[in-house]
Amino acid sequence: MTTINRSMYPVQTSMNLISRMQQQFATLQTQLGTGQKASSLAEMGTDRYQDLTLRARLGRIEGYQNNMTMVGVRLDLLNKVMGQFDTSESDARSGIAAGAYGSSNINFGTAPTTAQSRLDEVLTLLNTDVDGRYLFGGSKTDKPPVGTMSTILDGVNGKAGFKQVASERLAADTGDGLGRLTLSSATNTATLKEDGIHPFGFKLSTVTASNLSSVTPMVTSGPPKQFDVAFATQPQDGDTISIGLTLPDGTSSTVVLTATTGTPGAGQFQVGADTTGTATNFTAALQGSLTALGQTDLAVASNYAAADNFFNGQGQTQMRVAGPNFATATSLAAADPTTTVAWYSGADSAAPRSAVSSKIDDNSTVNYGVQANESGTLALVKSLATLSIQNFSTSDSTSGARFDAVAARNGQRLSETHNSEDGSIELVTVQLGTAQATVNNVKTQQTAYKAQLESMLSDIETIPAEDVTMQLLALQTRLQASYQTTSMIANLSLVNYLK
Amino acid sequence: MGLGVSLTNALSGMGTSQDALAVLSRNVSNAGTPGYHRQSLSVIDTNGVNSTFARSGGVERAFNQSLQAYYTSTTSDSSYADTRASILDQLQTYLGKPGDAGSLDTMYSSLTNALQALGTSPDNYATRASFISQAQAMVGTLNGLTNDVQGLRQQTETEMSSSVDTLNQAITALAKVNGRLGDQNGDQNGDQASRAALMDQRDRLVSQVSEIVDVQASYRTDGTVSLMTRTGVGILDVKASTFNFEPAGALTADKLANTDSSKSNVGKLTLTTPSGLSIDLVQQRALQSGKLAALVELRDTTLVNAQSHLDEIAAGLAQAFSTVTTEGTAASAGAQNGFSLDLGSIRDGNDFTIAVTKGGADKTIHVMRVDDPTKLPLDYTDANGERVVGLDFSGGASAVAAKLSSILGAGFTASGSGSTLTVLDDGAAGTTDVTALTSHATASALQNGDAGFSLFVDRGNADFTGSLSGKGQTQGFAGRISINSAVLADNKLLVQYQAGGSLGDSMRADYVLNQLQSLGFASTQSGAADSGTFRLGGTVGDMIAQTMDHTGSISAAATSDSDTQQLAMDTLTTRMDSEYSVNVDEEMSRLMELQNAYAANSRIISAVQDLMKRLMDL
Repeated sequence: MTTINRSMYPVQTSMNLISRMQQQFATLQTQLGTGQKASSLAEMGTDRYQDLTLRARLGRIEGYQNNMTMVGVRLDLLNKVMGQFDTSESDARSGIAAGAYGSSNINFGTAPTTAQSRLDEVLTLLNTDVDGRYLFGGSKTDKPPVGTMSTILDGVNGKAGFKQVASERLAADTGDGLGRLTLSSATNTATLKEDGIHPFGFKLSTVTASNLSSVTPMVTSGPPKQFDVAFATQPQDGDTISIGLTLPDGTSSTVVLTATTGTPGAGQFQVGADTTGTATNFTAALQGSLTALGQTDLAVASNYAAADNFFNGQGQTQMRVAGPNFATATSLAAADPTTTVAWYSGADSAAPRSAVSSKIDDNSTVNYGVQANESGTLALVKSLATLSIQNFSTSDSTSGARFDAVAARNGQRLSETHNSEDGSIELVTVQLGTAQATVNNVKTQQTAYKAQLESMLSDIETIPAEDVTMQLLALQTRLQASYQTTSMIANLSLVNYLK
Repeated sequence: MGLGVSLTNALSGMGTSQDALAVLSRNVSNAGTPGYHRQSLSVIDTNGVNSTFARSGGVERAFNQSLQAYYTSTTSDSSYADTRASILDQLQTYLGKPGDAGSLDTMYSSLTNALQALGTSPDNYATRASFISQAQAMVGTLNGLTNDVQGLRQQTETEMSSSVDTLNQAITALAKVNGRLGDQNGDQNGDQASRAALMDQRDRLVSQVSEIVDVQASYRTDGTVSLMTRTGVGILDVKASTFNFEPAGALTADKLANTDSSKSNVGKLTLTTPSGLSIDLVQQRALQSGKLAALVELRDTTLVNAQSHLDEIAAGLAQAFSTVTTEGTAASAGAQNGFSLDLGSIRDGNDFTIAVTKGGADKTIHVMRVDDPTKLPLDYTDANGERVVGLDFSGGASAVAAKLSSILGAGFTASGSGSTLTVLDDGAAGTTDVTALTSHATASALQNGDAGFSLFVDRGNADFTGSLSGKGQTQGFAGRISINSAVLADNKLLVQYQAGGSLGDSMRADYVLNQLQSLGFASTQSGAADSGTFRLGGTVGDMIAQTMDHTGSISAAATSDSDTQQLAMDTLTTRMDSEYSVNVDEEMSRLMELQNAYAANSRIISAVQDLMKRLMDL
């Protein structure tokens, strides 16, 4: 009538024991097969929480190790690229030397071309990526941090490139040919004056005369600054007047004019009939010297100044001559990104290293951000770009002087003395090397820790195979004995013996 | 004395032997029948006028009342333990073994690993996508576990329903058996054998009932039985009571039992007495053991706790991602120092903490914004041992300050203007200090510059703030948690905490990873009913480990309890076996005895006949 429950079909205790032994047998077999003590959460017993904690730690370590592998790849590549930059820097430094024009001035042609291909290489390296991640843009890793060489030099889509910015700067620095100075003479006085308050052209710095009884240079500090060279008496043959000039890139140059009674050569002025004549001659000679300097040193310095404006470094704004009209420009203005190519579009952080960091352990973080606009790579790009846009030719008489001016600046800007500056290629390399060492140390520690955790986990989770095998054997014996006796007892019934 | 006496004696002997054979054959034929109690025949010497002969005294059925009572209660307990063990075993299987693919801790560990990878390569689409898929897997696991737990609750109701059917059938049958046993004039009254069979049936039914509810059986002299629960509710006396179960339909995480039956959303288990009185067995706590008690306990307590643990894990996960922590700014007035905090960003369910030192003792108080006035006053100590106070923020910072003053006691000055709260110490006296004032608010947008963001959201893409309003947002959240659809549509939002931000910026991933590793949570307490239950506290990882450990241990405890009960049951079965069961060997040897006795008696009859014949031939 009704369903009869389990308790009403009592299995004999002996049979119950056998089925329990069989279950145990199966459990032991599973343990031996899987090597695991427990097959479910409940079976793990008091070790459960410890197991969970160990696994959580192991999981974290695994995550960190993946991170370290990834960071390791990036650091390896960064180190290689930084090494390449170091080579490029020394190649660029030695690529041009004053006076080394080569036979038939061959270096006039090769120096800029070599610089161009080097610049191309450096820019390409700055756009290095690992799996789509750009390494030289600081924390802005999703876009190439620098433009290509042709974009940077020649501009793109109507945006001005370096060449145009440099030519505008050159126009602003050159002015009407005298480097934004005005020169005049009246009676016995020659007057040299900056043509306005602006950062362009020559800046008057010093004026000295070797014979102060004849010449009294007078400085009106301005601005604009003005030098008045008044000839009180006629100068002696060999007297010199030196005018110190500061060039747009911060370098300086001195124009020395020597008085002569004979026919004046370059750097000489003829003592005239009277002081007025001398002043006029001096003015003419100064005009000549300044014009020559304007075509050589000033032009080169202007290019470097343009590079300083165009290739903005950390925390700097890209500047451009406010114009047109450039020849009479009086100020620099922040470059409009819609009209000027931005050479660097990565992140700009004052502390680039810590802008990119990875957690490689619960308590250690490795910092490995690098920005293309840091001082080392910035100087390299500036120097290479400036050299690239130079145009030396044998037919141009200013070529030699310009070549020397470039060589001097190139050597100075890329000199090893900058190595200790923040952001230099060498310093960045050292810092990245430290990061790499940190990663390796932590990796070693974690590997050891992981092994320790795993062995603890295996103590908890895995079964000693010998024990289980022994237990299996013992159980097998008991089970066999039980079967045998049970079957014997079952056969032992009086029913079988009744006739 | 004559031959007649011998004949009578022999005939009575044959008669008892026949009766004994009948009993013996019944014993042997029922040797394998479950619930059959061994019977024996009592033989009585009868002294006649001039003879002594044997006659059958009646069939006796092996029965031991104290053993039976013990058996009945053990059946209840064993069935209680067994039911709990089987359901909890399912529950622990759902959570998975630590380290197994798909187990809760593995899912969480994979999620944090994906987050670590995201911190290292935030610009990589594949890394972001794999993080999202891990987050989805985590959400799926929590949703799935909620379904599993609620499925188990549903299963308990289904089992209750079928158990109640079985129970009613058994009780009705038992009432009929009682009726027949008690009917003195019944046709079977004389038939000892069928009476014994009825009693077998009675005992079977009692143990069937005791498996489902814990009963006390009282046996009367006429063989009838009356049943009542251990708590004293009568189930069967002369007439039978009826159990009723009204299922509540599909159970969800927010359908809970309530001591107020009008607010209870679960199935209702009642007992209707013959007089028509209805008793709610769950509300009255009338059941202590047996399958039904286990099912009720699982449905209303154990599984609800399991669900609330999952909910808290889900809430912790959502809040670890979305909480924006803002430190208060230093403030002072004269010699008094303290902090100011803008309460404007604190949403319903968010809180701010104030850490103070008073007389050298450090105290941390969490002040939670509670918009639902029915949840106030709220003041309890959370699982981490810190005080939590709920306040209504609608009156602005000045109203909060007024209440905070009374909470903090003397030595502090709390003031508010607009949404800014300022708490200062006692200045020159130097007995108190305000050490920190920090708000923990849920991020309100994905790209407003906050590193925290709502990756895990509630139904309808709503932010999870932990609001207590209504049933409380946490209740059943594990079943509703999902991934913010905006992030699913554009996984760059995992990285860009402001519009157009750099994809290489790992700030958001680092922040969230740090939150997961350091932000502590503690089980909330919504009422006195919660006290004494296992509460979670610590980081999300801690809570997951605690939940798994707790579930594993209650399941293991239930299994071991069930094993213990099974062992007790085994012992009892052995005892009952020896008391009640038929020993075929014994019966066979008795058969030989009876055969011999019968043969001897018939030999006597034939001898008497012989003698009589001789006598007649004379």
